[in-house]
Amino acid sequence: MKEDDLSFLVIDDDPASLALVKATLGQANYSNVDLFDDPIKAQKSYQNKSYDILILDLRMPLLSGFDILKEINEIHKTRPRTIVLTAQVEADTADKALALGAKKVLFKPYNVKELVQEVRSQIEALASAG
Amino acid sequence: MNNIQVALGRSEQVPNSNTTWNWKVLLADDDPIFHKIGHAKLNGIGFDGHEMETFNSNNYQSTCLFLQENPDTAIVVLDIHMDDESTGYKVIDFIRKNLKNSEVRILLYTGDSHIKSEESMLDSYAISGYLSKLNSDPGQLLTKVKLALRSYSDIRNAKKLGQSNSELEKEVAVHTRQLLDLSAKLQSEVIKRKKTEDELKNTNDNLEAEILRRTKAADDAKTEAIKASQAKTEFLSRMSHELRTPLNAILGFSQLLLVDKKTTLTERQNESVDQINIAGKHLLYLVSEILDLSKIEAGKLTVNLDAVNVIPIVENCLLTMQQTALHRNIKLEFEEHQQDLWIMADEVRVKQVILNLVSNAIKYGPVEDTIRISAQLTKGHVDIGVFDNGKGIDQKMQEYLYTPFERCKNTESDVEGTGVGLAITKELMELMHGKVQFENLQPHGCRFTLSFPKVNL
Repeated sequence: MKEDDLSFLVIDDDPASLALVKATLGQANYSNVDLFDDPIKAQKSYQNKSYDILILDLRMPLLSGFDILKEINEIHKTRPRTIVLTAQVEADTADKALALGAKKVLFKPYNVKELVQEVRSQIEALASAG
Repeated sequence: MNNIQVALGRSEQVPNSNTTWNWKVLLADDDPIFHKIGHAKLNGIGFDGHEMETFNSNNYQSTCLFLQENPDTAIVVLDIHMDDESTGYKVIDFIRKNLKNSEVRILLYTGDSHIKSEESMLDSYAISGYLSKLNSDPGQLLTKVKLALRSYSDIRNAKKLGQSNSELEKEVAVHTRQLLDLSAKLQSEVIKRKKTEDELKNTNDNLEAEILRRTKAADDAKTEAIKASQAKTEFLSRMSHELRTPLNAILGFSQLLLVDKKTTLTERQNESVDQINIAGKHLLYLVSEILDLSKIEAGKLTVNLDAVNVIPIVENCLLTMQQTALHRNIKLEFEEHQQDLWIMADEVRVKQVILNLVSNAIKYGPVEDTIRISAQLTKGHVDIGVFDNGKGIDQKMQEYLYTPFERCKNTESDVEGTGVGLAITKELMELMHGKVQFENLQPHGCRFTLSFPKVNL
């Protein structure tokens, strides 16, 4: 699977965090990336389009990452595979996100290499699932 | 009461007399022969333990004078006919009306044949007897005098008794008055005490109200303090979260700059990015410390205990701190130790407490020093010691070692830190059933020791 064929959805209300994910993915040669700092706009996007990978913040106004996780798994059964990035470092936050279908939770500030590794392992999982 | 008993005694029978006294008998007669007869018959005769003593008078004047001067006269043997034929009656009038002496016994004595009968005489005059000169029997005189004396004595006693009674009554009245006074005093005392009691009760009530008020105030203050503490904990927790978001971008972008193969940085740029990265990591460490502290204060800090080998953890920590130590020309030296020392602990937290002690030693110890780390098995414990050769910590300062925000170095110290590291270390060690101890060493230097429960494999 070529990097450009993979579609990414990134939702984070903090523009700097959004920019960091974009730069990190760009450096790993993933360029098909939709970025949203407004979760409501992001919602419209994923309601009409199927993404391979979702990179998601949890604490956001109006629509939280948890809400999005719940909804997106209703709409699209197998994908996207979701990596949560959050500054809420409590263990129960991670547990809750995983229970709602997230594949991995990384705590901010995360190591960019670790994020890239995680993206790759999720892509592998997608490939093996077909 | 005593004086009343005494008053009833014989010795007091005649007033103005001391130990010995006589019954005074006045012989009032103008005939000197009667004086002699009377004296002979009566003087010195005893009656009731006392003798009779006779006195003489021969007319109205001398008789009245004697009686006036001697109110204690017991008997007057009175001749009716002296100055004239009715002198005796005048004397009786004088005695009873003028002198108002109703006690003295009067025996009328007369030679008049046409005198009234004795019975009529007794009816008419307050007298005790009547003697006739005409059939004068010397024995009769004595008998009549003694009878009169008995009568006199009875009157005196009755009067004394009356007096005693009235004295008694007076006494009783006095006592009654005293009792009434006492009663009144008692009553006023009772009223006073009741008042005092009321006041006391009032004071008591006021005190109780005051206690209630203060208790409530204390409770309110406590509630306030708890609220404030909760607010602080919440603030610390929020702040820690909020700071992580911008830190994420700072650390993330600096990492990207270092790993990006497309962009080549100059050496100076590389160093700058390094500094950003180091400072960012330090900031992250501080933020984590504050979050830990907020968890400690909220009682939410938890550890996951497991059997872990502490040796690789120590080695890892020393590797982590190597760069920081080098900046101060400090050498980190792991003393000779066993290959494996297993402890029951939370690996992440063990790393945190060792890093805290080593970084403190680097920060607060002298430059160009050697910091030695030891790992030893002692009775049931594994002790990790961190030694430096600095000047140690004052006894006075030691009690604040584990208090949050109480930095041992003064506040103007240029050494950076939040002052919560040791507080967290102590809390974590306790959660892992271990402890942290400090001691100054001689001649210089100091040592922090972490004691973990060992695991027998």
